[in-house]
Amino acid sequence: MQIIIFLLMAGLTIFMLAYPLWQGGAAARPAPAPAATLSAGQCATCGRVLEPDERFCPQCGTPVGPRCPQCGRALVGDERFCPGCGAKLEGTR
Amino acid sequence: MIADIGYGALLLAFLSAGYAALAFVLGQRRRRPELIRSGENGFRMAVLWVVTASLILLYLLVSRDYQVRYVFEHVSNTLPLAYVLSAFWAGQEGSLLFWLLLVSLAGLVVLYSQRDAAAQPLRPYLLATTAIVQAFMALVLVLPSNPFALLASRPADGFGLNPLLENVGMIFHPPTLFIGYALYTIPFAFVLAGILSGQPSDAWMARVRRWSLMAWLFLSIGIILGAWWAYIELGWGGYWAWDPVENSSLIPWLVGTAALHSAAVQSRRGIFRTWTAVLTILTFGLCIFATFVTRSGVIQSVHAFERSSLGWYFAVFLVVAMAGSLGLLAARRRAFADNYALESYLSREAGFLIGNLLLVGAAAVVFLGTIFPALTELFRGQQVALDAGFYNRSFGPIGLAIILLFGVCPVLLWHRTTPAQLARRLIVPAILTALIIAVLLVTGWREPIALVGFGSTAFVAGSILMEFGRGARARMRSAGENPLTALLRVVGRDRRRYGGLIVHLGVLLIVLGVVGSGVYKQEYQTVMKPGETLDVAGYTVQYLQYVEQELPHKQRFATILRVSRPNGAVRELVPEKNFHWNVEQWVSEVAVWSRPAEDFYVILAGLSSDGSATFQFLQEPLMLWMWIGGGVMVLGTLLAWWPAGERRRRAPADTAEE
Repeated sequence: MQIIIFLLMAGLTIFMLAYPLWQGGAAARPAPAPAATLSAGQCATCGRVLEPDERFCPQCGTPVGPRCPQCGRALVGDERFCPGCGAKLEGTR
Repeated sequence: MIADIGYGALLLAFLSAGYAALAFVLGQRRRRPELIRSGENGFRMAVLWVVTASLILLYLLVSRDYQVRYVFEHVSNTLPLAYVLSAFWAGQEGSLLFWLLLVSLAGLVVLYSQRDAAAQPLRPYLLATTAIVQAFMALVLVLPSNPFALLASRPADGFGLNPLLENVGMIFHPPTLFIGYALYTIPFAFVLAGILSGQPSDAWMARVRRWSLMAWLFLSIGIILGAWWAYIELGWGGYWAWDPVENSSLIPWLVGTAALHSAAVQSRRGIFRTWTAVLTILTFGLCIFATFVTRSGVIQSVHAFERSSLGWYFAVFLVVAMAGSLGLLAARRRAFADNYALESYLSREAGFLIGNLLLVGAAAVVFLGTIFPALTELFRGQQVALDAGFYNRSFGPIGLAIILLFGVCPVLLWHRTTPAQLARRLIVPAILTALIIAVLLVTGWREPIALVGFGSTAFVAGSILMEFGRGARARMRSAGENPLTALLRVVGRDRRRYGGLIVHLGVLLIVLGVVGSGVYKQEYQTVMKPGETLDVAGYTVQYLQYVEQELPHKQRFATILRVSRPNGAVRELVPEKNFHWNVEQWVSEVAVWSRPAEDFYVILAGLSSDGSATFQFLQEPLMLWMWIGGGVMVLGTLLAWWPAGERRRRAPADTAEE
């Protein structure tokens, strides 16, 4: 009998400790990333995730510079290999 | 068995508190708010399980479940309910659980009160420190000192409480002391949180003040109640024996007093920052040291708890806590740098500094005296205890210097004071002192110690009362108020300062009692038969009758005396000497007639079968003022603590105090 009560107490404790972690992780996901942490595959103005072949952002119209089709990394334009993933680039330009 | 659930609750409390401490620190370092929230829940769960364990222990005590060893050892069938409840803290395991409960509840108050934006950086570390202290105490309860340990069988009756502990003082003295010790965890946690979060110390020191004051108040009440209990119950006519356990409660009180004063100067002038932090850390350490002394049995004491391994847990914790926190403070000492240096040695802040040094010096003397037996055992293989003479010779002069400072310090000005200003403010108290000493000499009080003691008391009382008068007079002139309103308003407007001054007046009253009973104590011993009458020390004592009674837990031998004064006042006094079955010992119950001028204290020292009794009569002048002084100290502290005055006026210049 005491074992069952103790297990219930322990279960309650573990639930209380884990609940904020679980809830906190879920709450953190939908938050839009601020501009400072934009990755190369996103529009610099509105943050929309871009398809590798989009030259203009379909949401706000911002022109998109050349990017690596494989990893989405932004390029200056004269690279022969992507400095991000090493993909061969000539064929795409 | 419900005791097992109590043990399980303690185990969960230990794990939750340990987890909470870890989660707070990691959450803050890695900026993971969800981890901090999880830590807060861990903290709440720890408190919940500690409260659960405490309620279970109380239930076991009240239901007199003697299969639980703690209940068997501290409760019996004949023990009244009030003492059954006080058995919660009468023994080692229970008192530690009680301490843990207090730390937990104080932590809960911190959890719910320190929520404003400015407290945010401190909060995780604050709660983490509290949780570490909780986890340590819970670990001690889970491993060496389990209050829920069971006996192999269930005895029909328990051993019961030590008869010396069956006294109202026992119901209140230990818990107040424990509350003081436990509350000092919070100022310590604030200092650690301040260091770790890198916040400027003035910001959080203001938050610490009321916690420190509350802890100090309970420690003071605990010590005074302990002295009163010794006076009423132990039957030797004294109140303080310089016993190691008594000393170990006085040491944190002295250092805590210094910390309060240092913090007062810090909040007013922005100096003594490191000093305040060090004193606050040391006060907490000395509270742990007190437990170490009491529980380890390293130093022999009349309080004699059994010698156990428990003390070493506290020793390790003490060393780690002190080395860690003082080390951190040293590493971050730049954050505690003062804005100014001392401008003049004739200034109020210098007065505070000297007072602090004296308090710490007094604490060091008592500390060395307390550990001296342990040191001699270490070096010479045998414990040599110091007698009261050592303490009276060394503590007395320091105490006197502190008392004199009470008189000088309030009239000193901040920044600097000229000798002429000082002389002008001290001339009236000095004349008053001369008058009092002259009166004492004429009326025959000629002992040098008494003249010094009463003279300095008069000087300080004069100086403090003039401070009240000066403040009230200023209001009467400027606001045209009547004297009483002016006095109440001036006190109400600056509660910290006047509360402090009232505490000092309370200490003066205690000094009256110490000097009066110490220097002018008279002792008479005589044998009387029932029906006889005797004149002793201005009292007429008639021995009316002798009563023998068999009670369930003791054989009672009482003598009924009719004591009268020349002015016609009469009092019936009943000193007793009882044989307690459970400890197989004689225990005296003294009878005291307390009057403002003196106490008449009767001990039944011996008794023969024909009813002739040996009485010891003690005449202790001014003893009552010691307890009144204690009450005045409590009132003054509450006045200084009371929050309303601060909320109403938040002007920065409003933080002056003594």
